[in-house]
Amino acid sequence: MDENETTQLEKLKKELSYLKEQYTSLESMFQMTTVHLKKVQDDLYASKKELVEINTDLTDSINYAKLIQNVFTVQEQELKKTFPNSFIFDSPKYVVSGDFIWSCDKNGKTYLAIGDCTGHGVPGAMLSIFIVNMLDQISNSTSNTSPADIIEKLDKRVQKYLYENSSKLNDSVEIAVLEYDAKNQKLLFAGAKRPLIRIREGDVKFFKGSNNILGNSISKFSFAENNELYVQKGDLIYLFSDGIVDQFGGSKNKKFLTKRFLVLLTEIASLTIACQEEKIKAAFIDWKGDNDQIDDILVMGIRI
Amino acid sequence: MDKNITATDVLPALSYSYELVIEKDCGKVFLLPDQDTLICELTKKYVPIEEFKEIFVAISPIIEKHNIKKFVFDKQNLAVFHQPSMEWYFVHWKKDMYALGMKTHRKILPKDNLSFKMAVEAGRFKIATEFKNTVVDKLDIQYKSSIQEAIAS
Repeated sequence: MDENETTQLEKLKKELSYLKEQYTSLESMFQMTTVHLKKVQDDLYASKKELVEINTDLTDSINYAKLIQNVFTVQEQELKKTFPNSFIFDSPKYVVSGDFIWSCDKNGKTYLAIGDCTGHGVPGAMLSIFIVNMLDQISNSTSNTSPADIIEKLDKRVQKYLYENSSKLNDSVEIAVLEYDAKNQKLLFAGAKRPLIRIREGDVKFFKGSNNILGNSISKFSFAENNELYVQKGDLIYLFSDGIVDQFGGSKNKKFLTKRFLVLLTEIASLTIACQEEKIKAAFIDWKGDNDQIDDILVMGIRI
Repeated sequence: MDKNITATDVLPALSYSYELVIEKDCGKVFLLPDQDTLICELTKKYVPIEEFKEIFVAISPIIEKHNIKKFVFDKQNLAVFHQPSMEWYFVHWKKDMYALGMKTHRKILPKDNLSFKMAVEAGRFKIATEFKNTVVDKLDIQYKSSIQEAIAS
């Protein structure tokens, strides 16, 4: 081997040594990365397990809260005792709802209200329990009252307990209240941002109610008015929260709106009350399509 | 694929005055005196730890002499991440440079080399776990995608 060959061999040896070291380093790099990624994966699995447990606890808790809420609010079976031909389409956005139905019997009359508390989910549900409690207090404290009186008194309580006690809260309730005198076939209605619809032999009548918000200190004037309606057998009465009419959907992704709801109610008016409920549900699902439900939904229909 | 544009490629086209202060088999070091910045570009796919230490040891007096405030580490040519070198660089070299007043570090990783980027992340995690007495928390360390960004930031 001459000198040139020896130099060449040394160079190749050096090159080989460098490549070996590079290969070993590359192997170490992958080993270290694999160990790290395994740890990240284990951490993610542990986090996922923890999240699943938290989610299960929360879901169980909210489902149980729904049972409690149902005790305080009127459910379909209870409504049917007074109005056998009635339905409640109740579809909360998140299990518990800010929408509710309240009722009481007093002096031979039935008082019925449908409320829509701001928000949905747990805050809406907590507010609904508060409003139901206030309605119970109002009905128990007054011997003779009307829907407008109930709303006026509720307004003062909302102002006192929610607005005056906390600057952080800006919540309220939209409510429709009716008083039904079965003996005299008379119905009184008052509403704060919630209407009443009556359909009699295909003729639709829309009672808008007041536009004022409960508890709003700016509205100092008397804002609830009683509307007197004489009802007759076969009349249809509907009360509803704004969830159904505010739902986005359809081919142009627009709100369902009260206009379409009135058309729907007119079209299904001749059907049995059970069929009407199914048709309203189907119309809502069809309109919503793949969109998310934006709010709690509550629709109550009664055939006198 | 994004191309790696290293300090050697881009500095002649930029308006900064610069000087090549170290040139070795494994890398080059550029001084940008007006920016109080030093750029170290490793020019090989893999740098053995002895060569790595050699170039960084040579950098230290330049940092001290020119009162360098920012160090740009251009790793775009690297394909192999060598953890012992990085541990020495992180734990010892950065600490020594911190003592000289250099707290700003900018790094540029190879583009389109996910395994290298993941190795960097794994290496940083390993260092953070195994070495508690480092100055890393006191430094301004940012990863940048180009030499221009690294100088400007």
